[in-house]
Amino acid sequence: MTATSAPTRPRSSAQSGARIGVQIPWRLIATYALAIFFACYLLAPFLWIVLTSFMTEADALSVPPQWIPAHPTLDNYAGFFNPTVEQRLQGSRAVEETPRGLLNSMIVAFSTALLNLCLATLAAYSFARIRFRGSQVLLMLYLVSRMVPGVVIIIPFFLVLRTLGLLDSYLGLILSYTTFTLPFTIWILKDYFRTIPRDLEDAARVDRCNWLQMIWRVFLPISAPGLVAAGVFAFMTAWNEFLFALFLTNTIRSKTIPLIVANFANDLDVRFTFMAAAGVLAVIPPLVLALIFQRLIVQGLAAGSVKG
Amino acid sequence: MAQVDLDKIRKQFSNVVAVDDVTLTIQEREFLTLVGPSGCGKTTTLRLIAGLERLTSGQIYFDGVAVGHQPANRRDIAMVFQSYALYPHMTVAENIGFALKMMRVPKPEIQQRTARAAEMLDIAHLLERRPKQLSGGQRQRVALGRAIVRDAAAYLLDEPLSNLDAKLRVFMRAELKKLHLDLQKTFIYVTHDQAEAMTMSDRIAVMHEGRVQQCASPLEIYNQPANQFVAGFMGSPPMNFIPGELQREDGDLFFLASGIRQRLPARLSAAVACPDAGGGASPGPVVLGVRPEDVKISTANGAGDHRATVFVEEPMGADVLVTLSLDAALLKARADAEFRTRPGQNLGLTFAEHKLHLFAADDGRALGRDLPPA
Repeated sequence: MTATSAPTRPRSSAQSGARIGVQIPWRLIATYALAIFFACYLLAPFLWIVLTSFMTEADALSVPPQWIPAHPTLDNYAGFFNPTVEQRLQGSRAVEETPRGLLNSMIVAFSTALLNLCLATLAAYSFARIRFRGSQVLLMLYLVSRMVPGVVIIIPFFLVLRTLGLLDSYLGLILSYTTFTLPFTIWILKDYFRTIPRDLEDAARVDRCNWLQMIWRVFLPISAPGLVAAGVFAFMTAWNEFLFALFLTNTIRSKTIPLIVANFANDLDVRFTFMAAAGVLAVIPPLVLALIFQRLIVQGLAAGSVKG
Repeated sequence: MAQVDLDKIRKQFSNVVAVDDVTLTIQEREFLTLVGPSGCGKTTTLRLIAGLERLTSGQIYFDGVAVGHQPANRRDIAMVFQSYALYPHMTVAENIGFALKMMRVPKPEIQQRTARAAEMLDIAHLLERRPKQLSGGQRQRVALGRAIVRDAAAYLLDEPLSNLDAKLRVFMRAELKKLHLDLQKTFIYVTHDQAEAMTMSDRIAVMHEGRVQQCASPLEIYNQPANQFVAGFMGSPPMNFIPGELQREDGDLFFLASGIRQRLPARLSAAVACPDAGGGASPGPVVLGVRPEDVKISTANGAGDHRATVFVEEPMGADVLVTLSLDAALLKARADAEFRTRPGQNLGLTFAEHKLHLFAADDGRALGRDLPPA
């Protein structure tokens, strides 16, 4: 009995071990495969632009296409700051306008974000803290106003700004961008502010703060993630905007980078490598911004999604 | 520190009256507790004193000076919140010293006072941490530190122990009482926990439906409740109530209910006889009140004035709570830890006659509480 039963035990454990050993984690494999596929889908175009920006035009147009630059060069970037005669001819005005376009975009996007935060903070605080008749209707109206396609309102915008003498100016662009980013920033901040306990405001008031001191020293520092998320959203929107910039600007005084990048394709001689380099330069500021504030942006956008 | 006077204060939120005509004087250096069930108006009263809510009517005085119109930052008060309300972006030291900074106290003095408060509360080693790095008990101490670092007219505490576990709560109760003794300041404390109110306070104000039902010392509240609500709210387990009628026989007053015929003490008899003395009541429907520790039970044959059946027993360690079925009514009795019984057993019970309470059936007011005990 003992002799026959003793060997059966290790065999059964070996069997179960073998069963575990051959189990293929399909679920895990599928998850990773999908994750990698979507990462490639999102990153491949960007990677292609980055690589193209370091190619010569001949390499960029070669057939079959090259993924890795055969003759890597920084000429496309150098051309923006100190163009050669040949580059001037190839890239036309767009080459010379890129640095100024970047500066214009920076000024307009930063100003839009700042103006958004100033106005949205006050509005969102009111919606978050004060109960007043019609607040829900107003909030919904703000959102509905954003359902109207930009192309529908661009002509009235153009006429109004022309009357005000704000065409082809920073202020004209900033005011325009603020009108369509403000509803979203108010919503983002309103939701974030509602997650901040009222007791903190009361504690600040008991601790001898007047309303402004309470807002400045307690409420806003605690709201940093929400403010950053809203600010970055406004910045990105202004940075990427094309249609309004096309209508409302016409000289390098206020032209933003999306318009200038598009100009590379409008010239008689399309220069893909210049366009790619300009695209990379255009991506850097918002990318840096997003990386710096990554943690705060996630916190800000996730506010209220979980109890906590 | 200051004497705080509430003069007919009232607070109405649209159609709801949260605080209704409350008049109260909190003496200098007194520890007064506002106690009552949820929604009774105790926290609103505290917030009115703090200036965090506007009075609908009435006035609040600090040392005789009207402050009802002043915002919170102009009133000289310190407050501990139920949620602690620590500023998450500041360290413990910055949290404690924040009010002093806003009062433009010189930096060295802020550091000195912060260190002293931290030492008092045994949190000196936590000064550089942020609130999220602290346990519940430590956060509670920081919240207290933020209050005691001030030299305020009054210290308001809004259920500061309610977020702590039961063991820590009992420990902190004693700590708070000691803190009050050390500081000798005016403390106004809000809680729904009658045990906290009983153990810590010089006086207790029991609130219900926005009104102060009774304000007196803990023992007076316990032994001479002003009405049926106070009698039922203070004490754990609560007082037993038996509705019935009064009947006078041969000069003695008897309480009659299903299964009970109880002679009442002379004190209660006199209250019914002379209505002016104790609120008054003619023989008729009343409610008899008796605390569980005043119900004596015995398993001996023929013992006790009344008969009851054991419904359930709950051993508490130090004593045993026995729920008794007396006809339709259920009564609780507190017995010695050694007392043993079983559900369904018949028992004899006796009420401690001189500890009985009588309440008017219509409005619940206590009868005979102003007369001296017999």
